[in-house]
Amino acid sequence: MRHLPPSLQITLAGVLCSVSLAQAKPARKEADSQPALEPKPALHKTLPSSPWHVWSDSQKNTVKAELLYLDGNYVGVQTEQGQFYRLNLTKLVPADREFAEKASQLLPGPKVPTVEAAAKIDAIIDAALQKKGLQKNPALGEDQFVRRLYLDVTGRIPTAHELGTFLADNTPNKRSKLIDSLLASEGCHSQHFNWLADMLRVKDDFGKGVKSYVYEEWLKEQIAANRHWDALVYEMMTAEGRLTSTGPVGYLLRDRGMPLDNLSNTLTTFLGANLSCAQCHDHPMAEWTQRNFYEMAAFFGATEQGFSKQDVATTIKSLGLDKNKIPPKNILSSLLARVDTLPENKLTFPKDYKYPDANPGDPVRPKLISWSKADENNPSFTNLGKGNPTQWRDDFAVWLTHPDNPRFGAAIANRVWKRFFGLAVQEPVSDLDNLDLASNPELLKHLAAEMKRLHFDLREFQKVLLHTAAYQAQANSTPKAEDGPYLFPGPLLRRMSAEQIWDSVLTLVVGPDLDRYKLKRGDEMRRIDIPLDEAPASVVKSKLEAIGAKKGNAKKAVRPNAGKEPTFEGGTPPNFEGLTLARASELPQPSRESHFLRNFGQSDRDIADTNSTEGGVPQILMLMNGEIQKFISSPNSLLMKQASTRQTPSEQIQLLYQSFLGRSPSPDEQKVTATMYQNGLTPKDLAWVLLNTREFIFIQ
Amino acid sequence: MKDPLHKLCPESRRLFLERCARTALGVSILPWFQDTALLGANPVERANPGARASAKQAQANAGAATAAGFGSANRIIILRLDGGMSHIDTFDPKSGASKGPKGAISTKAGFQISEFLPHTALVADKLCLIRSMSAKVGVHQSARYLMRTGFEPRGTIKHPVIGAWAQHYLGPSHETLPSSVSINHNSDHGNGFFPATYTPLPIIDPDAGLQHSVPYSGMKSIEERLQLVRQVDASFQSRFPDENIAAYNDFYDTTVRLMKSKELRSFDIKNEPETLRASYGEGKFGRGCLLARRLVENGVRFVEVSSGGWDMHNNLQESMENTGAEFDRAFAALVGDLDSRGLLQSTVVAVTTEFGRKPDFTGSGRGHYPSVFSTVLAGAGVKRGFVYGKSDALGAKVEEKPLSIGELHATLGWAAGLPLEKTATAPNGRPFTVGNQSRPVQEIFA
Repeated sequence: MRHLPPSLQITLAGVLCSVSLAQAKPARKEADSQPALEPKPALHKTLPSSPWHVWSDSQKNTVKAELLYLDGNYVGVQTEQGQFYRLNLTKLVPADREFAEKASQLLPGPKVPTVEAAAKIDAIIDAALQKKGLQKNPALGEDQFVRRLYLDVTGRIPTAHELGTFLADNTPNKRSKLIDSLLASEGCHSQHFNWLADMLRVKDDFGKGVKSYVYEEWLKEQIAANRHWDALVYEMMTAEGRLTSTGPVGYLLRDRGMPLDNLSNTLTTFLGANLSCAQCHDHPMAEWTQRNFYEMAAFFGATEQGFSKQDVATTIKSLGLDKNKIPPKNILSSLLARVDTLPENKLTFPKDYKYPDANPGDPVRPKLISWSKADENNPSFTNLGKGNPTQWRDDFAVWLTHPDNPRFGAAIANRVWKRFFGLAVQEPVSDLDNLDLASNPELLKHLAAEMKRLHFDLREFQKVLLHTAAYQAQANSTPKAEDGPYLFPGPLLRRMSAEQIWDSVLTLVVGPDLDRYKLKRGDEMRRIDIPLDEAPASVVKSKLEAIGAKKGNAKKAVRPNAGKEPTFEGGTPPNFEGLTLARASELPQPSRESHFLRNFGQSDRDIADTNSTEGGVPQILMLMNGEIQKFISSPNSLLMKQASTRQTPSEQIQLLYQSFLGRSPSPDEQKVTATMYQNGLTPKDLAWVLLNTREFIFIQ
Repeated sequence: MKDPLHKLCPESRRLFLERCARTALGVSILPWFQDTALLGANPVERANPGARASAKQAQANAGAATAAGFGSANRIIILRLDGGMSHIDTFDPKSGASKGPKGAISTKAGFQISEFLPHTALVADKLCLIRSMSAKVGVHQSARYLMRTGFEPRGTIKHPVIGAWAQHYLGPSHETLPSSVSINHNSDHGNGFFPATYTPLPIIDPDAGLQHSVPYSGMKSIEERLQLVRQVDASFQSRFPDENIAAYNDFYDTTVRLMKSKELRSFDIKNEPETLRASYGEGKFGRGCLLARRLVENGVRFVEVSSGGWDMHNNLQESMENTGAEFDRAFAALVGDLDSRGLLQSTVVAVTTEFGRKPDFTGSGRGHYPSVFSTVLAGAGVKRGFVYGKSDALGAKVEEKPLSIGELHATLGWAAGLPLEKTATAPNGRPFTVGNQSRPVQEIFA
């Protein structure tokens, strides 16, 4: 097994680490005449001195390169030969850190003001609509805008107070201000996690008692730090080490023992390359062959991801553990859950390979797929998979996340678009093999270019989308197939996601305080982390035996539900009849099947992108008679407390309408409701009524 | 470039989902449900006579050599023994080196079963044993998935249970009740790649029945509250004539109907006579079997009931005397009860498990053993008092007529009247068939 340089390991404090200087990989293996990145406004045009700076890290590794950009946690630099490196800012010597920060201020940057970027998108949409004799929907009213924005960005409805604050603001750029502040809020991180968790199939339990808590917390940290998408994905692909200490290995370990399934998901999720059929046979109609699939899989041919029964048994035997002090199997499995690079490629064509171009059992050489002839001249496709097998996975990651990869930017741009508009520019998001099938190919192309311009900064990208007139327009009903492609005169009407409904109900009951409670379970795993292959065997042996000697307690340590309550930071969230009233992102991933969240369509996290917004009778039974009714109407609920302080029925009615629907009652509604109040309707009953409106669970 | 036709374009994918979303809990909004003229004696058949007839016709047209047993099962009850039932200590007893803690008893059907199953022995004449099941997977989770769906697990797709396939081809089984129910376990994505609404409705506690069906009591009656809901919603709904909103409106109507309907009582086993309840046993599995009978009797098509604790590496005798005895009593009661009500002839009951257990008895228990194991079928058009296939003297390998899990699924699908040759396209564009292209075993049908 390869020993990991300490610089690659994430620190316990959760410092965001990109590739260390020592490990930084050039985006292109060999220097050639073409630069790895689109020509950037170069530093030497703005700085009087030479643009070439010698960067050093604390380990005394150096590289001479020009600063391209600084993104919070990492520095993008390019050498004279055109090699591109991501440097971890925190690992640089202080002088270079300072230099990067100062110099980045001077970069002219490709920065386009957000409103201009949004206007460009609107122009492309308008052009497509005009061709069909259509136009954009009218602008959304203020109260509806606030509700939509809170739900889309922070994953919950606004409180009556938040609504009132916005409506009372008279500054002209108040929409823009709200977008900025919500994108920087805790709620935004929570909602972003829910979205990623569905896409990446984030699951607490990787089987055999192995928990992915360190991975989950790492993901949350990346989201909070707005780690750029390319850097995030690159790290998940290339990380090595133990799941008990290195978060990003969780991506590959998610499918331990099933690397081909993992790759299939990687290709569809990050590229929209639909090779899943080709995993077992040539795609019946598309051009992908089983050979294509295996050649892509060969990039992981020298990667070991996972653990098996033998590993546990072998470990016990090879260390000669005292029979009475063998730690519980789940702890051993957890320690053995790791990603390593092997010296050799072990991938061979499958036993049932039936095509004439190779024999079953032949070793497979890595080769990148391409979507067109032109791709072969694309800068992301150069000399990859030619060197030592130990380099292949990194080659793949470089290609995958390269700014010029033909699909990487389009795939994520298309997905973010879907999040806000209810429909992707090209559906399904998992198949972008033919970009001409997009409802508006020019729009998708432009969004992909924007993603690249913004260096895969999803927060900036979202900011641009939220500023478009298209997003801020009134919604449409689900389009009919016969109406042709949907050209986005506005977003689509959507049912809230399971997480949005749950978090919204909790906002009524607990209030925005909800965001304080952060689930923290990573320490339970870190506590049992032992560097099996680095420490001397005798040390490992005694540490394992120490855990084994107090089996009972140790077992509880890795199974939080088996002995103690999960740990939260920021206080213990309220509990109602056994239900933890915390954000969906701070509950078990996924929730147990009988939980509210699953009833309303939270994915079981086995298959990517399976969150569902379909209805069903069990949902209605829950809304009418379930425990959420009980906790909304409980005397401890924030809403009921607020209602009780309102003096008149009319004020109570006003509060409840604003709280549930983000608007005041119309004069007619006020009248009807007030009449029923006189005839015995209580605030509890009105809460029941408003929760059971379609207006509540749909986002307009 | 790639041919765009093979993929579901956004529109057709949406239509696929939309069509499926119109049914949930077996509820359809199709107008023919209102047509009382169609109502027959059998609630399952009367709910969807057209679909079954046309599936039958399709199979006949396809030139099936013999249609014995096709469509004989209007209802399917799967008893799932989680952990891996020892074939030798249940339905395939051995007297030689692999003999377990107990011997065999003879039955009136002419075959022997283990002494651990005295109640089952009394209904042996109604059973069809399959003693030649064979598979390769000896890991619980994967093997359980394979037995439940007929497919090996994949990280990129989920496969449906028979109940979801049946709902896909035959439509919902009842106007108010769900088409599929899972008892004593979560539904674990039983819809597979079909819409979420095909997921079996989970009943975690058979004594508690359907969750959240007790009306919330407010100051105002539910009618008055719903009236106000409609008034508040009116302007929103007039602005959005949306099909998803319409679907929710239907779900509300159905739910209110269900809450008031007598069918709600189908979920309440307390309505069964005390003596009958006692015959099924007091355990969760017995209760689950009794609930399963009530549900299929009233129009639910597919019910899974699970029993845990079959992973008998150790203390096999003690476990069989508890878990095994609970199963024995409940299974025999279920078969007898269905038969005495005349339901067995149109209901297939299947006893399934993920694998068998090793012929080597350690003196305490047995390890996992997928190479040969047993399954039991009863009812519908299945031969009574029949044994299909044979294991060798040790119960170590199949000696005659090996049967794969795919073939078992094809056989159950055949009994349920599902078109086995027909492919269903998953939303990702991949084609699948019931039983993964296996053939049904016609020999077991009378």
